[in-house]
Amino acid sequence: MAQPMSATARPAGPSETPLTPLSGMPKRIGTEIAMLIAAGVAVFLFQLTIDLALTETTTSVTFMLPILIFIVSMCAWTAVKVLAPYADPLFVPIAAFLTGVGIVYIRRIDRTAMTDDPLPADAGVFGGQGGRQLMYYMAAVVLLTVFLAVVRNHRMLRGYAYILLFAGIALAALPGFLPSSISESGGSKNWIRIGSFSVQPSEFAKLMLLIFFAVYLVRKRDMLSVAGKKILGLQLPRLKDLGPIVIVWAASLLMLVMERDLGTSLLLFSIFLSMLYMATRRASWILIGLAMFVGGCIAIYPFFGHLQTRVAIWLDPWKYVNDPVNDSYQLVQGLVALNSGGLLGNGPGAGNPNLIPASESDFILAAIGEEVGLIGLIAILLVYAILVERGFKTGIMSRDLFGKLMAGGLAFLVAFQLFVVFGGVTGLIPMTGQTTQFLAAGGSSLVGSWLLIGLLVRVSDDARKPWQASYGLQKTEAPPEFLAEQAARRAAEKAELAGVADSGPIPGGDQPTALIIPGHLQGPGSSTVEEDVLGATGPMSPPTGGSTGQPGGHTSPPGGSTGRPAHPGSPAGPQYSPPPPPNSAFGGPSSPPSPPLHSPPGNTTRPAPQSPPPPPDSAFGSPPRNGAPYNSRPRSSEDQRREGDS
Amino acid sequence: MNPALRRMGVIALLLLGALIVQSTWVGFFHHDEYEGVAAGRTLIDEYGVPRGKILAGDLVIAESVPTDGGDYAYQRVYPEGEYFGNITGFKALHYGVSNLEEAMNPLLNGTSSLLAFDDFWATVLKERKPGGNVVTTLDPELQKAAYDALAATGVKGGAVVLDPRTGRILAEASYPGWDPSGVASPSGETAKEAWEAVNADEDNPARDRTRLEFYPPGSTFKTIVAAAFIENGGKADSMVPAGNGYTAPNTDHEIRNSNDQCPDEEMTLEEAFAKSCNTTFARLCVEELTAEQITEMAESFGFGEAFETPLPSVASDTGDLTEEAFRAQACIGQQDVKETVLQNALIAATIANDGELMAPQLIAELTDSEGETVQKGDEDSRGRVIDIDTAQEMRILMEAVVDEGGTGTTAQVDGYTVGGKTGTAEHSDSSDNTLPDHGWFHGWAMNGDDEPAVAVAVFLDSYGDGASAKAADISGNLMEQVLEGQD
Repeated sequence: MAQPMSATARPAGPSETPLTPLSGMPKRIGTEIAMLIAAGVAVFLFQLTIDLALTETTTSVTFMLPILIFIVSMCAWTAVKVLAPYADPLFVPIAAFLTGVGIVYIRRIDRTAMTDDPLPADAGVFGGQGGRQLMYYMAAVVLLTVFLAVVRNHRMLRGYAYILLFAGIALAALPGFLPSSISESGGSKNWIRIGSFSVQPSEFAKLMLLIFFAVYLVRKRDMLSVAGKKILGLQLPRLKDLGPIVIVWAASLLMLVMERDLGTSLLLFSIFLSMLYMATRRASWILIGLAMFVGGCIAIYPFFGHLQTRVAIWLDPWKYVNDPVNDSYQLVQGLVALNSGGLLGNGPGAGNPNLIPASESDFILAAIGEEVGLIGLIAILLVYAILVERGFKTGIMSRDLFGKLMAGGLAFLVAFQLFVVFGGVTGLIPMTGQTTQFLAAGGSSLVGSWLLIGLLVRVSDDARKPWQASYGLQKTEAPPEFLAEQAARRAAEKAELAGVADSGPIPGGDQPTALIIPGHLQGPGSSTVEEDVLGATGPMSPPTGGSTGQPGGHTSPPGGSTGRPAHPGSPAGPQYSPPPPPNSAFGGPSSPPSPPLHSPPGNTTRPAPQSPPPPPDSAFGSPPRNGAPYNSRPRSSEDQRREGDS
Repeated sequence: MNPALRRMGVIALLLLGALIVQSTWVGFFHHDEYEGVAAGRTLIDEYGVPRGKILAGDLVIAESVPTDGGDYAYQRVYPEGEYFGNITGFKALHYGVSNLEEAMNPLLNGTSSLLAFDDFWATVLKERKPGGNVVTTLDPELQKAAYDALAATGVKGGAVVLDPRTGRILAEASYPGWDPSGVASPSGETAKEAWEAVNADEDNPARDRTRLEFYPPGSTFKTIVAAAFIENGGKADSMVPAGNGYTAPNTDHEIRNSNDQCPDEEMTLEEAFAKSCNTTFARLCVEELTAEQITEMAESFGFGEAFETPLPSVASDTGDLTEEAFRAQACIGQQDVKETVLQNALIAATIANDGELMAPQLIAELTDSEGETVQKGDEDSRGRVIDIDTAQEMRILMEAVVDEGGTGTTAQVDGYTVGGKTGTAEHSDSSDNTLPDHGWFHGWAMNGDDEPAVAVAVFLDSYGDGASAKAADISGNLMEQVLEGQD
């Protein structure tokens, strides 16, 4: 049964005002630069205190390293400003701050390394692991720029969903099939090492699979949220809809078995679960998923020493200090480091991070925590929390379902990965061996983190840019002919720019943002249209049947007849008419010339300038049974097709 | 979809909140079980700043020097090695800390409250700061001379030299000595080797024989008996019983003199003391003195007390004196009497100091890392433990020992008044095989102004024939060195 849905930036409740004003969100360039400078100063002060604590002198590196980090950060910011000018101003400063702290701290760990030749104080800025991390940062910023330049609109990613799926699976699974000499590290087989070059493919696989999940779940959300049996007050999904979750579950367990990588396995499955929940709003999915994962882990637990070790150490780390089999040395050192830091910390450069194995990667937060204390540590956690919540806000503001789900998934990924890593370090959960995003040493991790920022920036830019009122969505005195002409021209340009991938009716009613008008902008009397159409954001809140019928009558007045010529040239037009090749990847629905706009009979009543936004929305968003006059036919065909899909 | 996103946002915040709670639990609260592992961390901290020096006069006997690299910024070295090993002890990474390094640890590692205002901010911020220095009362030349003299005898032994007026320890040597540098090495292997070597050594060179071991004092215990006798009405010229043999009541063991040197039935106390007549003192104890009187006198001199100089010492003990047969044996320093070298030196010092016992002490001065004095070592008088007259009578007795005709003539120092008492202690191993005799000497010397200048006790373990003469010889030389240094 099809649920109504719509792509909208409107919040759920009708009482909430639209998050993005007509003119778009302010860019806040000044604030952003101020934050970047503050981050740069913080990184510099961190480096300075470390140098003073370690050698009581400053070297050129004391100044050069923070300056270089700042320059790279400004490059990242510039790229984002040019390529995604409306993006949330917090993403880049936060990521730059965390990366800077990471680079400085990794260099500090090198300085006191327990090896025979620790990094000397005056080693160049590119010396040691910290220097390598700086180079990774540069590479990450370059890749971020390339990504933003190539992917001008996040919706084009939808076209590559299945490519991303297979690439993601291949990357995630590859190390499992490679010989241990190439892929094994610390008990887990999740590396690909060729000579001195090594990469952790799961860092990228995560993002690829996340994008696929978003595409897939937006398409299948109706089906997956259909209610099944109700047991103990819990609305369960239908049994036959369990397919996808079982597949992801099996893949996660397989990954756990093949690569002994509990972290990535847990991460992938929980991302899928969280996105499934966000797409369907059925809490029962979360319970089912957790039960499956825990059950799966318990089932394979007796056969995997690796897993047993982690759990045994977690339950009582003190029992296993220097135990030959289950050595909890690392965990215990991390705990003691945090404890010796106390509230205020030992001071940057005055702790003993080198006592903790892998203090530059998995345990970097424990090492930093020792030196900056609980206060500094919580500050870092809060910075992450801001990043996460800005990610969710981006999702909420996003004007299309794909963007929403992807942003929500990315935000949850950041939070959950941090939880898995730092929860393991502090003994909250068993250690799983994930890297701390932005902070931890490692090219794959850093580049992956910055690509994640790229994705968020892309969605955010789209969500916060001005409503494209010139499509005629505003009350305006301009002659309809002019508006129609202008709209046609813009649409043509846009189609050219975005290319074919950006178009096509995506099953699931996921529509481009440009076509959506906030209700209040439609002037008095028309608000109901918006609220009915756009307010129906979730499957749980189907619009009332009668109201959706109103738009036709409501919005007709101003120049209704003139609207007609606009249709072929309206922004939606070119997007729908040519069945673009990439869409075939989605399994079909795009191929027939289905678009609602090509069904003039019903549309005659609508005013041209105002019509473009509603069509796609209402077309997919309002159930055919409500008898919206202009969209009944294509709607039903779409519906059938989608049901046929399942 | 927005409500679900919002809820997910809340869930994400809950996850991060759980992290904050957990890290607060781990980082902020005290956990007993962390301490074992935290110790290594504390060590690194401790070795991150220079530990204070230990000095004997101007001579550095323990200091921290920068390492060549590695975890620890500083390492502990003992430039004078075995001469002062029994005093400094060691500060090792893995084997703990001992002797002065242990006793003065808070000052040396900078945590003492004496240094609180030395670097006020470091104190407030609980940062490590360089430790303060400990200046000992030891005279480096004297200490080395004492050690060398003991070493020259070839047997184990100990020597203590005190300033009787202040209780300051001028030398406290124990042979064989031990260089703690090896154990204090930052290299785990070197330290382990050194540690195993010292533990495997049967001579136990790390143990200070002047204060942590006690021995039968032999005839030097007669000083206490004589003091008890005088305190209870005797005089140096009182006639006391003697004879070549004496069998105490309830026993068939006859006490004899070593060379039958006291054949007369009666002689003056002075003569009996000078000749070290066993029969005299055994009879005095049985016939003239009660067990309480002897015990009391011994305790006045410090028996039963574990002195802390601040180095700990074991308490000397007279054993059970209630049985007359045992008392007779004990009064010639056999039976269960156990005495440390330090205690024996204190007896001589107290007598030289007119009966006022000055508690022994090793600390001359405590300074901060810059050398500014933060505390002076003070004198600790235990009061006049024997009457001044008794002390004077005792000095007459002890001078007679060193004068011609006495047993301790080798202790004479030209131009100075010297008194003392030799001792030869028989002892046997666990299976009752008689071993070579221990040699003892404790004594004192007056300086040119007839003020007590030095007290000394020397002990030679199982030296054999001539043991006490050798001990007296060493004592004489040490006293001479002090006296000439003072003039």
